[in-house]
Amino acid sequence: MRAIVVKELRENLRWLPVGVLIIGVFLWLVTPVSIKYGQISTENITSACGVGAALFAIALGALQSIFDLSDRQRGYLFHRSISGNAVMFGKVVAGAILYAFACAIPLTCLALWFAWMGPEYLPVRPAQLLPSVLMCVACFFLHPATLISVDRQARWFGTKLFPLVAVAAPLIMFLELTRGGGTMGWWFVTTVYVLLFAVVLIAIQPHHWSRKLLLVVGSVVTAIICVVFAVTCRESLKFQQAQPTYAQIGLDAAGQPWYYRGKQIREGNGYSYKQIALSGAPIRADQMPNLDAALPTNFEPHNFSYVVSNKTWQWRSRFASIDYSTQSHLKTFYYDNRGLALVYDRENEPPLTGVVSRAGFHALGEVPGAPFSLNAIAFGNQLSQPLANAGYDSLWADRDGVYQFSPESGAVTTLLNMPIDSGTGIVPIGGDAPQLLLSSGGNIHQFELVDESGETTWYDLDSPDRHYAITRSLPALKLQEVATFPAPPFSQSDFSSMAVTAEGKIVALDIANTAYATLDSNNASQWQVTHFVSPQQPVGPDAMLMAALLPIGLYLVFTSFFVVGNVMAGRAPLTQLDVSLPSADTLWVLIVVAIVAALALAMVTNWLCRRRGLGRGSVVLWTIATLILGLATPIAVVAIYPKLVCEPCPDCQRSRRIDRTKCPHCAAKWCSPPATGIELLEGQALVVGSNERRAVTAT
Amino acid sequence: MLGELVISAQGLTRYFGRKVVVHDMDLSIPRGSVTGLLGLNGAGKTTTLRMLLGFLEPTRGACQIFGCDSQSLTPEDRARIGYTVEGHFLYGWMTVRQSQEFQRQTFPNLNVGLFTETVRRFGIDPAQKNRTLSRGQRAGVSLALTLATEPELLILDDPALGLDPVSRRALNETLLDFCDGGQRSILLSSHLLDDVERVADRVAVMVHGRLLVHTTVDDFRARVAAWSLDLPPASRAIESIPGLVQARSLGGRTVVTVADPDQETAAAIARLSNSEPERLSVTFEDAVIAYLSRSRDSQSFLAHTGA
Repeated sequence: MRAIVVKELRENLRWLPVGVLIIGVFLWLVTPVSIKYGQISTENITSACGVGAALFAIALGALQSIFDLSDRQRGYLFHRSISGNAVMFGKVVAGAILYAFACAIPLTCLALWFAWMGPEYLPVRPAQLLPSVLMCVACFFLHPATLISVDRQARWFGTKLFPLVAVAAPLIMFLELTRGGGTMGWWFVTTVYVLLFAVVLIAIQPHHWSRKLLLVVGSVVTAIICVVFAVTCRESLKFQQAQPTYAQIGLDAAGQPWYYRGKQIREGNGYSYKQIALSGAPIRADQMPNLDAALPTNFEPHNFSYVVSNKTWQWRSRFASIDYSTQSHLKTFYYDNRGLALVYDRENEPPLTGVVSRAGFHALGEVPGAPFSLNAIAFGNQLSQPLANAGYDSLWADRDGVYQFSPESGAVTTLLNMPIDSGTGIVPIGGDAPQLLLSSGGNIHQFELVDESGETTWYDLDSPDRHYAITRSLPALKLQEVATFPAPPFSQSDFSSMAVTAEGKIVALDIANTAYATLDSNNASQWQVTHFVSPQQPVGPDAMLMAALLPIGLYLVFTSFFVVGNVMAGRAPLTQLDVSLPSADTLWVLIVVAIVAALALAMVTNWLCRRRGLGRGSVVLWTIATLILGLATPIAVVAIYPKLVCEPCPDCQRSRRIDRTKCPHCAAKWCSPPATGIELLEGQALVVGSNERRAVTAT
Repeated sequence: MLGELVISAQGLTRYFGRKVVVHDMDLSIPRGSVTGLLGLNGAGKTTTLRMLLGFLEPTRGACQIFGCDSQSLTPEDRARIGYTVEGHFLYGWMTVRQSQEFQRQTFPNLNVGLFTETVRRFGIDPAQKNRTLSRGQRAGVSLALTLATEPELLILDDPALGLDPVSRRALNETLLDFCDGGQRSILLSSHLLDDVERVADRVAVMVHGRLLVHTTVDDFRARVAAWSLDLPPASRAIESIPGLVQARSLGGRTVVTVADPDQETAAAIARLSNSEPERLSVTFEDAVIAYLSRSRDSQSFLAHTGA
């Protein structure tokens, strides 16, 4: 095999500069030379590196194998005292070496460049390229897949590219995962699917392990592509249509919780939403609200604010992703995993002007003060959502307090020095300025954000000064504590939602939407907990679309997950869309649709199997497999079995396969072509028009 | 009796789509023989060789080399088979010596001495790049690489294509030397009939995917006969001659080539001819061309222009 490796290296070394160029160009496109020209995102670097590396892997695999398609070259290379697998393995090893250099050279250059530029210019450490390295490793699997695809004896526009698709699709999923996409549900379904399909394949065909493995992966991935396609269709339709209605809980002006059917509609540029209530009823203890009841005139629902916890992973320093950044006043702030915020000024040279600690701004060379205990920019941004909604700079916050940072002066003012477990920012219903509700040690502290004169009138939601890209400066603020009260008596208070009225009424909602608690903060009274029954709501058109697409296009297993997921979680699995519990009637419709679709797919598989001339047992097994595995099964049948060519049987004249010795109808063997009488076989001749032989003697 | 067989095929058939390229071929090649596989372009020779070597799966039928199914040849089996591809493919960037080293690493039993000797016989510098070799030199290197593995069976796909007369003679001599001991066998696909006649002791002729001739060269020569008849060339009556291989016009007469002629054949020819038919001597080349030209009009090009 060493000879093959050396030969392949020597032959394909010329492609190495091309690979370096491809990957280098992709990296160059997403990496600004300075923070002045754009934000650095290691996630973008990972993606770009993945695309470049994938392209090179495919190209290298094709170049290493495409020439072997010629009979001469194939015969010369493969007729050796080494197995064909060893030849292919040698090609893969050589490809891996070239690919490694092609990836390593630009990535090393980029890492060196990051190190050379230093944090003064770029807020990226060389080590943050590790995800890109992992992406390159993952993308290499496209190389052997391409080799196999090219080498495969199949039609180019039939199933020849099957192995390539098999590898490419998981990589896309991998890329999505590295970018933080929520695809874990798909992976779960995939795992189950792989196991089931592998068992069926092993049962059906005891030989050709490698091919089976390939088909398992390929079929799974094809199914995933179908899922992605279906979900994409669904999303696309959703974007074009008015939002479906959902049952949800909101508050009226007096702070009374209502269960109402409402919808969000896109307005303006399509990126903002408006909430509209259509029907509903107030929530009463131990009752199921009537979702279809008419709402009072001018009823405008107010939504709860989600409480965010300091334990959430987003606030931690993450090695493999971009540090949280925010932009303000031509400055860019990056949270550094040492607990400091790096301040980059786009008009300064070098851009890094200093760091921000809890003690304030420190120019380069100065010893910084105490670091933040978590990503203060991101956590503060979540706590001060009402400020962001009005276009103001956000507050900063960590586990130990709330801070106001002034981008102009660089000063950090500690607004609150108190341990914070969780919290939320709320504009009270009917109120004028936002408040903070912060949980600390089992108590909730309610603060008003007031200016230096103690007024809340500074908050101006609809100011004409608002600019979509540049935030407004906050006045010097103070946190004025209004009340302190115990946390609502819910088991998972950190993740519940809260709302406040201008009169001081606090309303908290538990995560399961089965109870709410109210408290009058003015009187520091006890929480009054009200349990209620969530109404069941028919699945809306959005979920119906999904339920229709998946079983038709995919498989029964997936549908089962959908149905069970709905029943158990009250929401659509995999997409985490808020879909209310389906009614029993709707559930039955879904099940019937799924069964009908699965049966239709099984009929297709049966037809395909018979068209490909499989034996009766195989036809039955594949058909049953379809009921379990769905779309992947007919795809596998098409991939495994070649299309049949038939000719009339010389005996019974019925159509029979050309690759079978005996006719399935009359059991006759193929006849030799009729003799022409000039056949010269050693010591015998054939009689014209028949295949009888007669002895001959040369005259 | 053919004795021990190195190659055998039974009902070997290969379709490409709906087109049958090799049709129901039965082939038996005994040890120690040199078999010439002849046929026009597209007759199915290369497809047959690819199936024999396991590079192509037969649509039906089977073939074996050394008793092993061709589709399951192991590296050890392949080490016993020498194969030179059509056009004597070599990696152009390699030198002759690097080609030898590449061969040695993939054929453990490579006889370096034999390689060096064969290359020297073709007058080739081992330091020369393959891409700079002439066609004849490339054939020499290719053959040297194959022979140096000391195979028991040599399969050559049109090895003399494009070679000059000197290289062809060197090639033929090399092949004769190779078979000298009587234990080695050769299957030689070629268009050069005189070379085949010189080297081969058996002949197989393929026409339209069918094996019409498969016997010894001597037997083939002896069983094909030709007569010159005084008969209009376009006469359909010629088709009544038993064993008619080919009929062509030559100098105002009709020359018929017949396989396995007997008294009935002679009587039919005598009946058709307006005068006494003249028996012609048939060379190996004549006989082969008669078979091959059944599928193609092989008259003089001048016959169509009226020149």
